[in-house]
Amino acid sequence: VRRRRWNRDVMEAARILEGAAAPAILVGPGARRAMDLIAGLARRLKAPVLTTPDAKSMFDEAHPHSAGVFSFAAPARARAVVAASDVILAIGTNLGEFASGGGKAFENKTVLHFGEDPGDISIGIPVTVAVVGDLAATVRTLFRAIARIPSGEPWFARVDAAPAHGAQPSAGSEIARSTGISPGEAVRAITDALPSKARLACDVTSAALHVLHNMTLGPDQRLWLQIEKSACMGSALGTGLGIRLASDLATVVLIGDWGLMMGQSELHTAASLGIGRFVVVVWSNAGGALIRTGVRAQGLDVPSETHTWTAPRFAWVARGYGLRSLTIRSTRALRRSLAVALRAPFPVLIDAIIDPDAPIPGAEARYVHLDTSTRSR
Amino acid sequence: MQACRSAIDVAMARVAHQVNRVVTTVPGGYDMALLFAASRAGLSLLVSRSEHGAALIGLGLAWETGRPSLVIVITSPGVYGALQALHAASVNRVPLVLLSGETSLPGSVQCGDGLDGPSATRVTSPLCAWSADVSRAESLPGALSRAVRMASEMERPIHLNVPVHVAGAEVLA
Repeated sequence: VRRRRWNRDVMEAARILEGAAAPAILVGPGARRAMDLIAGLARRLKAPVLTTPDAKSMFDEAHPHSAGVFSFAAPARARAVVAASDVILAIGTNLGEFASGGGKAFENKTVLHFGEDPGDISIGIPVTVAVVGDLAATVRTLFRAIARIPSGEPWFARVDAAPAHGAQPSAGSEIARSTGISPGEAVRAITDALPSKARLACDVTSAALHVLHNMTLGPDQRLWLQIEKSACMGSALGTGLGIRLASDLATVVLIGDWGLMMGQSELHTAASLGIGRFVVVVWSNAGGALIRTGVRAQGLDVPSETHTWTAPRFAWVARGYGLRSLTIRSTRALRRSLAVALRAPFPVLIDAIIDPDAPIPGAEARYVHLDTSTRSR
Repeated sequence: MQACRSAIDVAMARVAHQVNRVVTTVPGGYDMALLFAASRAGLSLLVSRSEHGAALIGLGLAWETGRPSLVIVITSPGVYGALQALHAASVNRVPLVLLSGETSLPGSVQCGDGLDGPSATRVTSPLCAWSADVSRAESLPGALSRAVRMASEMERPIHLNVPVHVAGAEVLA
């Protein structure tokens, strides 16, 4: 009975996708073993592929069918593609808060949801067809069931990438107000410095939102970012060290000043191992910018002392642990120093002083109440 | 006549080729037998500065390779330090096998660290696909093999709590 129901549901999904004018595929981390099949499905449907924040880098962002990461801190094009779509095929994601725009991004759309675990299927978003089972088998069966293939150019090629809603940070305004490196520029500097084969472990920090918004990764660059489900601050240092050891590739740990203080003892492990091509970039912006933003997004006042402080001098801290380190206050110096450090035969910590007042992508539109008197310096 | 070896040596030898070569650990009084056995099985020990770090490094190893990572810590406080990584591995589907060395005080398996606290496995069970106290030496090789297999197939964390006397008892190799 279960097998018949599974087959019936996959056929129903195929029928809906055949009739869709603008289908889009949203991929979460649970789909990692089915990515080749999903790429084939996207070509067959002429559909764009978006990834959830936790699945960024699972699909080559230079691929012609890539539409980027959705939804938290999503670039304008990704938001425009989702806004213009009529059917969303969500695969391997639980459509959590960050993957679904707080549950509102797919209103008035037909949602098809494929997962391997019944617990993955969204209960907060109306789903037209839900299929639970092995994702590779499900996608393969769906591919074979789709008989009618759209002709002409892919529909998403015509989508205008203009911002759909909400204010986005502009580089000009950031520079004008800057008391440190512009976050957007810092992420672009990191992107430029990353080798074509590399790993990035990004902590739960406001830097993550800039990464989601501004960074395009190549096919051999993988990002570890677990902001959607576990959201464990301070986890990127240890995890990044493990990734560096297993991959033997140049690895950047991008971690906030608060996050680093939650688990900085592993700096000593890195120093003791003497492991090269391992760089910790501290996103030093004077406290919990992401938490501050999230609390404000709930319409709550944020006393400055709860999430804002003078950041420690991490270059000194790192030296105490035995690491080479430096403090960086300009984009150019960050790009240059990181490129050098990623070739060094020893671990390096870069304390990057980031403008604490710079806007955070994806956050402004969610503000309910903003008390500017409590903002950090 | 079949040779006898310690239960943990037999167990480690069975799984050594199925897990990441680097085993992360924080040594302590109750887990030395486990990490020595890992070393004898050809695995490489990485001593981190905290159980929190050991488990996270193991998480990174497993995420990169898709193979289970062994993390070895002591009972209660060591296990509790690893909880954040167990949670991350659970919700993000990363194969992680946490081995904790338990005391051999009377009733230790039932009473956690022997101080009448709860067993560490009761704390980890909501986060793990399988969380178990291994109370018999004969069971240990099979339990560890099952743990590695489950972690790999289910992409979930597993926790085995192993008393010192169980790890060191001799079983048929």
